[in-house]
Amino acid sequence: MQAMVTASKITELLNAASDGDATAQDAAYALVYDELKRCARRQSALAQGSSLSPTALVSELYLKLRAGQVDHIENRRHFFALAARAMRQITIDHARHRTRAKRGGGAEHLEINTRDLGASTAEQTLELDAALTSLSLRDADLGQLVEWHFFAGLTFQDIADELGRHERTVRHDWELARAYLRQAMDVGHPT
Amino acid sequence: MNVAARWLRTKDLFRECQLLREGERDAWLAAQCADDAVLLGEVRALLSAQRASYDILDGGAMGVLKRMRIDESAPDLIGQRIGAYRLLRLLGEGGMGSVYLAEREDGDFVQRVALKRVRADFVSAETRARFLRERNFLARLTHPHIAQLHDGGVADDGTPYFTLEYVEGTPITRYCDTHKLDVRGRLRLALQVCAAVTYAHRNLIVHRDLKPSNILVTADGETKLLDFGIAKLVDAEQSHGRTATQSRMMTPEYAAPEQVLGEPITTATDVYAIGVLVYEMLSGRLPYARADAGAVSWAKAVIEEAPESLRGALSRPAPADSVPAAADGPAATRGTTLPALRRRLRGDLDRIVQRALAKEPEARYPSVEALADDLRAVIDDRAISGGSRRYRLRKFVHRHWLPLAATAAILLTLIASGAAVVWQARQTAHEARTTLAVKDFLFGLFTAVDPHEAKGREVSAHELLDRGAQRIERDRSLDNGQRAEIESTLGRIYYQLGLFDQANTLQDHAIRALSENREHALLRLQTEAERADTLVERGDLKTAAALAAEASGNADALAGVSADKRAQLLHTQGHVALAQRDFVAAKRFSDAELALVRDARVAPAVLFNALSMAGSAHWGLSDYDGAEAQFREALAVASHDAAPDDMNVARAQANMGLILQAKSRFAQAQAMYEAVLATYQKVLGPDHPSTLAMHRDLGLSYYHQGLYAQARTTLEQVLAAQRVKFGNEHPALAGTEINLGLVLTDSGDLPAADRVLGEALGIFEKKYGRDYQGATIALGDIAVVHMLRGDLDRAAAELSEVMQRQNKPDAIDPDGFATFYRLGEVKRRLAQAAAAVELERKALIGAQKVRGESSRYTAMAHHLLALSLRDAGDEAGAEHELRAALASYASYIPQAEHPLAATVRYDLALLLLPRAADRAEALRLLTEAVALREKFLGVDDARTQAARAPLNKANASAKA
Repeated sequence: MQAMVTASKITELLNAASDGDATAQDAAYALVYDELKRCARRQSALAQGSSLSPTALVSELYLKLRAGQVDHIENRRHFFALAARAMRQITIDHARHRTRAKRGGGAEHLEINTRDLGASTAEQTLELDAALTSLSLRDADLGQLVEWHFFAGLTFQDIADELGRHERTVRHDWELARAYLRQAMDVGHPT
Repeated sequence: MNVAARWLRTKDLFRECQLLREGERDAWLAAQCADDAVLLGEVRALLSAQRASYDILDGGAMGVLKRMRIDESAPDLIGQRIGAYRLLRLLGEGGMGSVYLAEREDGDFVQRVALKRVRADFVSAETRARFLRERNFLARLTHPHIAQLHDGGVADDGTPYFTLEYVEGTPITRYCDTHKLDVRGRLRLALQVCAAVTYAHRNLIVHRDLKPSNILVTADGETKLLDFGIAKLVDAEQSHGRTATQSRMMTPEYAAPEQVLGEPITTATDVYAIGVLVYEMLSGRLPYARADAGAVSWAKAVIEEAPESLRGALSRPAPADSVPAAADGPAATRGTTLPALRRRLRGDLDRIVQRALAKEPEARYPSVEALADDLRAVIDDRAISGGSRRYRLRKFVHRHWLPLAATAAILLTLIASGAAVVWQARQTAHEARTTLAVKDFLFGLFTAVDPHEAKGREVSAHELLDRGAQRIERDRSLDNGQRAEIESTLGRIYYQLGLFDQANTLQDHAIRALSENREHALLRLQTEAERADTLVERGDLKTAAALAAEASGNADALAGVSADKRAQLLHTQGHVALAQRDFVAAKRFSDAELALVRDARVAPAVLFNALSMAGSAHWGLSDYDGAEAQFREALAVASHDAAPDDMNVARAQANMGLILQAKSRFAQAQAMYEAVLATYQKVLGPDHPSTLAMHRDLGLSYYHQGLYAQARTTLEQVLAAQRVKFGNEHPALAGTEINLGLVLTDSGDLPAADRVLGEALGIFEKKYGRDYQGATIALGDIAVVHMLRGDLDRAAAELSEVMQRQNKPDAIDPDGFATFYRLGEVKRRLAQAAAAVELERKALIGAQKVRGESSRYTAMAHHLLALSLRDAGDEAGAEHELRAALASYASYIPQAEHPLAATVRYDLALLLLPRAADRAEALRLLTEAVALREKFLGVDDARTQAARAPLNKANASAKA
């Protein structure tokens, strides 16, 4: 229900944005961000898999946009970019919060230091963010692919359709992007 | 190929490989990249990264959020069963797995264990392998002080787990404090740890992560070693270059230098960690005061700082978060008083921890057992083992571009001091007689030259000396003291002629003879000091140091040693320390020497020598202001009443030039060098090695001012003269070639640069081996040429080699930070922006520390950091650093008129150009860049044209 309302609102804003209303885009971003965040929170509060996941939300919103009035390529892409950016922000914020909490926490009473058990997901997430920034600079297309697939949760088929390319090509590009990120996150390796 | 084109090609090749079978890829790729090894390397690296699993990349953003949630609370497993165990509570958790307290019911018997498992989801092959390795390690270890492995298995969901003896205990440091153990009690606990680690080492396992939280003490007072999570087999794997995973897992406070630097890990790594542990158990603090206070990072302190003495640690202010028991003060928790504790920790215990904490693994105890032996000796009040080498703080003290010129200048200082040995001891009647006998003897040498034998040619001093050395053995008219004095004198002359083998033989002989007779104690001291100087020249620094120290000790024991004699002994010790590059010690000696000679009325030459050495010591410690003050005073002393072309004046000027160069005041340095060169040419002749070296330094000062053409001409002249004089394989040539290589590199003639640097490397390598400092410098410079020619992998490999050598214990680290920024630049060009930023930041910190803000090195570090920030997407940061670079150049070159500063302007302009608000500034910068490049590089130079292009374009679009 909520998603429906949001979808139409987003549609409206995106249309306004494409007509040159600069504030509309910010508003659309804020809306997507809030919706995704609420969704992510709701999901972590409930048992695994029982609620609508943010990525599912993105595809739902997307379907509505596609079926609806804004079948304008520019706007759809805008939306993906928006959704991906929002999701990336949510993930990174969460990771930052986590690493800060961990640093500040008193480890004095712990019999076993958490450090022994490997870098936390949060730390790896921050590394991923930095690696993605560097990838986007090197190759904007691959950066976009990672944002759409990894953060916005679009399938390779979705992306292939959207870009008018072969699914296999998109898959290969993903492999390359992933390999690049993997390499960039291994900063300690001498070449 | 530029970066963008290379990436497109990489992308294509990678895609095409996807269509091939794994087995076919390599051969196909090799064929495609036949002439481009860098490209081949790049694609291969990506293909291998593709094969590697990386949990986090495979679950999408939702997966990441989910995993973070699991990190936050993994309560869902409490109460559940894994194998035969029921989980009771979480003991610890992290990104890879968790440790639970679990119990197993076996009839009436309830067994409690610690159960370690990897997470149910997102288990990568690597994580699993690491986990299983720990299990295998533990299976090999059965020791009363190591937590015992019980069993392992696979849970229902397929994840592996194992169980360990559950240790109910307290971290060892806290146990010591809460039980108020005295020093002996603490050492006994440390011995238990040593026993456990020794046992592991015998089983070829290095723990790598020893620290209080991994060493618990049970209520019975038994220590238990936990967590072999990052342990490794000794030599089982090539551990050079740590993985990102390992680096994240290190605990910086307890990590050894080699762990921080990514060097090979051996059992010595555990020796170091036990050193930290013992230090903390004894003093209540960690070894590095500045890191403890938060002034520097632990990693930095581990590499660069000397551990504070245990007593020093006792007087640090109490940490804010100290546990209640420890807050009573370290003395109270050790059942003693502060003065008594201070006394207890002085001496042997301090020596033991310092040795265990040596930066170089080889300088530590050879084994944990050896360390334990010394701890035991302290408990039993026995003497500890000898052999504790004093650790010398390794510092990035050397200038990069000028190491050879610098060495030459130091040598000059030292030769000057050797030549001016001034003895003004009050002579006793006996000494007067001896002196007379010596004079007679020497006079006899000259008069005994047979004119027929000499046949009209001049008899060289060398021949006379040899004659004297032969004669003295036969001359029965001399008593032992007189004979020794003559030997000593002849030794000194041989020394001044540079005939060190002969000097050594005579001096050694004289010392032996003199040691039998207390009457000659003073002469013996003098000869010992002189022989130490000789040994330095022969390269036997160890014996030289021992001898100088012995002489100094003997002087202390002797009443009535005059001030200038003591000053000379200090000078010799300083000389040895300088040769050992132990500048801290050299400064100590020269400070003491200066205090003496300023107090006593001594000849100006003695003061001059003392000041020159003090300057060199400050220079070595990178205290350029201090060095300048000393050299300036030396110059004033030498200039007082000096005749024209006085050599001491010239030497002092050369030293001043050195310091001005180090302070990036190149125009002033140039003026100094020109003055010195004029004197040398007159006094020594145009082809004298010192003249040539000075000429070379002058060329270098042209280079530093961006006057590449002048620098090239000068250096090529010097090189040609050196070839004539020394032939093609002399190290002096290599020194000039390194400098010429820099000029050629910066003026863009890369093939020529490659050639001369290659020749320099060849000379050094052949003469002194590849480990020699000069060879390392040449290699670093060659790497830059290769980088600029696009051979990035090769450059990276060469720089890694350089870095590795600079990290060796006996290396001098002439250009530590320069290697960082060079490697950073290679990484940037390899599109590894994050890695590049990290390296450049390190380089900048190093450059600022050693050089200060106002220097070409710091400017360059700012510039390179800016480029990598830009590539990493941080435009604001890049802009900030570019402005800092420009300010740094401007602070020592008026208006920053230098080709390197032109490049900074160019890069900054391109960054600003797209922004409407900054367009005017961008155009101004571009205009300046073009003007500077025209001036320094020429109107037609490709780089000048490159700067002109965007300017023309912008101007054209402005018109349109």
